[in-house]
Amino acid sequence: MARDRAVAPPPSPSPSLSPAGADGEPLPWRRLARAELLRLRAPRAMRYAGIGLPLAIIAFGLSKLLLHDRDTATAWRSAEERYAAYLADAQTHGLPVGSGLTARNYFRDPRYLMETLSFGDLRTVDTALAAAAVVFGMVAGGADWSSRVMLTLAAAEPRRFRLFATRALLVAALSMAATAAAGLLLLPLLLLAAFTRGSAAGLDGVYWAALASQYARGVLLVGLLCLLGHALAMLTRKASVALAIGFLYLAGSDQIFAGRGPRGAEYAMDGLVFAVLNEKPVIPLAQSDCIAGPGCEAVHVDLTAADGFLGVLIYLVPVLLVALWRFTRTDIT
Amino acid sequence: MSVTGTEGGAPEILVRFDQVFKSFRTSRGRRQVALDGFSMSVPTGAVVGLLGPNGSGKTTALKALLGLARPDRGTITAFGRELPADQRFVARRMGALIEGPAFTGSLTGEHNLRLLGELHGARRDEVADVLELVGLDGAAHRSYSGYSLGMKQRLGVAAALISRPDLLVLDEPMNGLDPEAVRHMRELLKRLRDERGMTVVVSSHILSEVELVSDWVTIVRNGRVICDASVPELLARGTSRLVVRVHDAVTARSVLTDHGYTAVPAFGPAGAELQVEPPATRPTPSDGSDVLRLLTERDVYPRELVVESASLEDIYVAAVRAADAATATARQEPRHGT
Repeated sequence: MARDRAVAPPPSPSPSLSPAGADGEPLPWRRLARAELLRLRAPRAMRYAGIGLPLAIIAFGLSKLLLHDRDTATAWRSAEERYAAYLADAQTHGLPVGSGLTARNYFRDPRYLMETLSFGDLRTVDTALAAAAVVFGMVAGGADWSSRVMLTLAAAEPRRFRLFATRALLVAALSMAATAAAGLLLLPLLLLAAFTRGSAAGLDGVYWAALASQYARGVLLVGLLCLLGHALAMLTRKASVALAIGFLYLAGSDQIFAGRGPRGAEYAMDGLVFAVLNEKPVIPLAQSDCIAGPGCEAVHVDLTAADGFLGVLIYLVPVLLVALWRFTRTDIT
Repeated sequence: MSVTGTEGGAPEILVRFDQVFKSFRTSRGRRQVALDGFSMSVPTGAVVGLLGPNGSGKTTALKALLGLARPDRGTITAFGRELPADQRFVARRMGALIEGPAFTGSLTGEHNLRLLGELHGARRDEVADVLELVGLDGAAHRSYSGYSLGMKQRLGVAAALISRPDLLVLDEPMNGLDPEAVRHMRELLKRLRDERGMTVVVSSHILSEVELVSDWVTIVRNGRVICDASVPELLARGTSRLVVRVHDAVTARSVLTDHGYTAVPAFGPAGAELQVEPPATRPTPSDGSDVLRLLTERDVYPRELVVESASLEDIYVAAVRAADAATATARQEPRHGT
């Protein structure tokens, strides 16, 4: 084991370490991009994420096999029992029975119906990845500041716009690639659930176009949110401060932003995410599984995916521009 | 020393700061001057020691050279190019360790260095060579977080070397090193200068080390350079002090003061002694022979005569005091004028 004190006299210099850069050529972009990509992928947490993410997607996909069943008879019996209990309760308390209310209203279809449920499942995965991407962007942006590696990088690449842009694009691209891969991994698992525990009926061209659109919107959304987290960390130069701002936003956004701001940004980020990932263009609202919960309000006021993206951009663009200005125009300390 | 000279004999200058000013706004909104007309020269092929107390502007000057801090005024040239306009050209010729080593704690030393090497197109064998050069080849595959401070510093130097620079900028590289590691660092810097012709700028507050390793010294105080000269020149400037141990100190003192010498009686570790300074009019530092001659002519025979040469530390302290005195005088002058 080498010890600090046990230092051998320096050997003769290697001839391979001759002075470089005599031609004054700038740092090639490809080399910068490759170096930054390797740096992004290097931390142990990233390697764990590389293993953990597919496992989580597989677990989520396989859970559909466990939670769904083709046996509708049992579900119908259960629905009829609950409906009968409702009627008995109403009679006991002398309450009127709702007109049009039948056992069907108590029926919870146990089958995995690909045509309707896959949109919600893809949205669930993309929403989780969007949240993770914000944190990833913040950590990736802030880690090199806290370790002061940024001083070394900025000294090696004086064109700071290039450095900023390369890092931002790589961070966003990496998160988008992970989302795209997650979606591709999820789809066969959902199809498996549909074929073995439900139904794959109705998977026509309209369906696939809608799913592809939601998939693409999810990939783009995750990239933008990752960029937002990254820009926030580059602006504050500390991952911890960026994370704190993120949490404060989540805690206070409903009070601060509800109903205020320009079109698109009057909804807090959860509403915007829901709007972007909503299946509404194909599934009428009445059939949507959106009853209550984060962002559901946005759907009920006809917030489209385009509005959602606009809202995200209204958050992203100013933060990105200020971060870029600070990085390129002020001292790196 | 292998400072590259021109035909006329003057050293060729690789880096030059000319009247550079830089100020910061503190968190309380106050303006703090970091560089206040900072001017210095770095001769090609020299090891230049940048000395100064904490907050004197050393790191700011190095950051300005690296393009990390932009001066408010003044010019910096390196490799014949003006900065920051030609920072790209210069950046590829410089390697730096600034504000201590900066690496990812969870990765090994080798992995950290490989990531930086990737940026400069260094091959794996080059990474291994640099690790060997700084004496970390045996610890290359250990986690950086488990490194001692000395090992971290050496990895920092390795990172500065991975770009195969012509100019190496090291900010406090001796910090936290044990004596053997300091010796290794000193040898390394000399080898880089002698065998590769590398120019090295090393900021430090360990004066004895700077004296041992540097060819040229720049002393900084309050953002200004108060002394910028080669080490031999500086040491020659310093006044030597003579210590005379003699039985009849009264007569000896009388003889010396009669000839314009200052002789202060003191009680040293070896008993009574006179601390002697030659007359200010004397053109060269005293080697003691003049004092010995004067005393023996009057039949006063010293038991011992020691010539204590001024060290870099003495010169540094004298320079700093002189600069502080000049600043104090400059502050008082406007008051007198009103």
